[in-house]
Amino acid sequence: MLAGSLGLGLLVLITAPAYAAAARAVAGGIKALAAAAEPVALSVQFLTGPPDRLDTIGGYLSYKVFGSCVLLLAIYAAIQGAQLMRGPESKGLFDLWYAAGRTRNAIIRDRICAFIVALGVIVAGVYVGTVVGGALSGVQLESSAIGQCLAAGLLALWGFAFALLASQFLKTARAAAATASAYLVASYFVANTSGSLGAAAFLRFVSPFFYYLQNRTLVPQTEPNVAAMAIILITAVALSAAAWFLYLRRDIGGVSVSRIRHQRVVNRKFSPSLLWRRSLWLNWIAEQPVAITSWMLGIGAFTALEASLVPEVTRVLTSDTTLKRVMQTHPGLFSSDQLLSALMSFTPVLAAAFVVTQVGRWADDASQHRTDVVLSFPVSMERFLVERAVALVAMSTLIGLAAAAGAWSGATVGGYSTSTAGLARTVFDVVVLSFGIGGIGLVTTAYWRSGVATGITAGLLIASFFLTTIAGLLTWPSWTSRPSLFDAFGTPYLSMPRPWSLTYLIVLGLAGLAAAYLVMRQGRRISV
Amino acid sequence: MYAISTSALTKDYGNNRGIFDLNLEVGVGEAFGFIGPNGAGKTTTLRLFMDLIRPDRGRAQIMGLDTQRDGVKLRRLVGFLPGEPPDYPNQTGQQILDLLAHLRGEVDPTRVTELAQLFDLDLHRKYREYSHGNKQKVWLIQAFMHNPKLLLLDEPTNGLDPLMQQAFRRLLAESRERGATVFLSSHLLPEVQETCDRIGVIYQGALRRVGSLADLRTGNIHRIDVRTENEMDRARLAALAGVTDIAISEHRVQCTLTGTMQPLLDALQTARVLSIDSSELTLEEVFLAQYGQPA
Repeated sequence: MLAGSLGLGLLVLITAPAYAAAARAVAGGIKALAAAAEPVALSVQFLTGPPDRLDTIGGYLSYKVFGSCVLLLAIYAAIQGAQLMRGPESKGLFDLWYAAGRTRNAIIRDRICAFIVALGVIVAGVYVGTVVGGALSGVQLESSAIGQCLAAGLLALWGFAFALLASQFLKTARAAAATASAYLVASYFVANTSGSLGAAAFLRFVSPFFYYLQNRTLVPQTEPNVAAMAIILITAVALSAAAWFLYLRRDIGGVSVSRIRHQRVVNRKFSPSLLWRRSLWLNWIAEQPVAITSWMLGIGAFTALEASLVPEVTRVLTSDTTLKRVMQTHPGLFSSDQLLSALMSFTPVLAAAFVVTQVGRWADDASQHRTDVVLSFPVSMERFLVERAVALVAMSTLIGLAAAAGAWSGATVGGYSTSTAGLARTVFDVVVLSFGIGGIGLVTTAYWRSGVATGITAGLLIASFFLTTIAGLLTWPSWTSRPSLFDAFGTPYLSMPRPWSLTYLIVLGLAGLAAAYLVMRQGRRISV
Repeated sequence: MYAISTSALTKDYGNNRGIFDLNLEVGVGEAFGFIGPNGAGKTTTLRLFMDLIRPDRGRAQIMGLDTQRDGVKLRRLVGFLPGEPPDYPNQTGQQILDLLAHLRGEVDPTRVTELAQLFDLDLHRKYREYSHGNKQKVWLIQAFMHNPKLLLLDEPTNGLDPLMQQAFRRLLAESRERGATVFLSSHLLPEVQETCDRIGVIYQGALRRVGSLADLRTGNIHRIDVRTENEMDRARLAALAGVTDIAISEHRVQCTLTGTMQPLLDALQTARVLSIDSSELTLEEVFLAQYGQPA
């Protein structure tokens, strides 16, 4: 909670003065910068939300930070909503709470209140960051930030309530969080592209982001849209109430709608598998078919969407007279390869998110004693760690291939061709990046054996992402962003990553393996 | 060669937790019971044997192999039942055992089927759907599936119903007939009493006593119940060496006697003994007498 509050607050605090500094460095100031940025922003608005008044600090913050970052905030809230009751249920805590005399009503009420307080702290942190960031850039945002932050908070509450309801129908928190996150991502795209959806434009009304976008009060002369905020609040309350109602009536550990299973024939026969359980790395892949398939489909579909929009982006860019002139002097600047590469800059972020989920699984393996069981068999620590890395490389290859397949399909739909070498380089780079991140994950899970390891790995990745973003925005010297993993990823679709970057990622992976081995050899952290 | 031997084996978690200077030898083919109250250090000792944790000092050898240097080799010989079973929410019993059998190598699939039949376990259900006892059966099967030379079992009957406990004891007996060594950690004294030749008592991380069941009972502790014609003088009884827990009610005397019985019989003569009942303490009573708390 504190990390979320500080992180988002810090992001908005840094972004405002950074944009002001960038504007000062451009001849013509903020208006010239906005004029140059707006066509590009419009062309990728499905990803970032529609730009509005980029010639103001408030407008830029509303687009840059309160655009895509609220999606992350809503997903965070959805994960909390999914875990609200399912988390303690899976750990068997409900039995203890009931035994201690707590009622179902009291438990859900207290937990919802606790989340609302936590969300309040996060939103307050974002508000303070916005106001201070504005002050550092010479603008006053005290009053206009209230509506924007409130809308962001309500949106997060909506995500929380939706996931809480989903968790009444799904047995695990993971499944409920995935379902709610998928809905949020889809509705985010629907809201951002509702203008070009044609007959399907009515879908925007079931997207909470559509109502959120009516409340961009940081954009000058935009009044709060109370009706839109009320719609988000009322639906969030209705979703929570429905979840509450269902929770009071279902079995603990069960789901609200379930079918009665007929007795199955008892089968005590053991038959060894031919492939999937023959080694640890294959087993780890076989353990998560749904998760891997979902990630592959998600990344593939996302990349396909990006790739299919390249012709539309080209059209928007060429309709701008200034950019048209630039393109005449630099013909290759906005080629389909360049644009596809730019749009695929989200691929490493998604691949990194996938690796973080794997690190989460490793931490679960340790805390739920699965690691101990494997190590009580004739399996050396070296083998254990190497097989972990092999499984990660195999899975990230699948993720990379899914992204490449998505790009190829999107390009085919868009009517242009892709570079096979570029796609192959992208797959290779995704694997190398995953290996590097995996190295961090291996050593953190060997040491902490809990969710702390996942948190630290994710934290390092977020810091890495910010480093690349801020260094680019503030035009810092290139060496400052070198430690960033995303900087090391480069633009593989266009050219082979620098040897230094590849070496850096591979060394990071190998060093992580070695360090994890040393931590496990030392033995103090193998078991608690 | 010993099946298990340790010298000054120490793992210190601070605050008197862990095990300290453990010196222990278990012979090949022996069934050794390791008993002690919760938190005494039983599980820590087993984890040290399996090289899941590393000692602060001292060393342990299993079947002549150093636990740290030859960990992989020795784990081929061992069947280990963890005290804290892991959670595999989305796997079936078959899938868990399949992986573990492949990791182990040279496991006969028919043996696994036999064990599943013995324990009446449906292998094709999800692990999360198993009851506590059925989960324990999965871990028992993996410990026995390769007919190991050494069985390290941490609270093996945890969650098993009486029928399954009986099945487990049969399995243990078969393993012993094959020549397997058994190291059984438990806080259930009757279980240890029934299956083990020798017993080690661990308390607060230190091995307090090692011996056969008979050895442990020597200290020769008896519970005495005497009916007398005349009243008995409590002070006189209390003055006798080895007599404790005295309860006198009218013409009945109850006490615990450690050591020889003659001085007590001499003292009772004045009260004219009508009947005398002497019973040896169970292991549980010995344990309670020694450490003043339930095992």
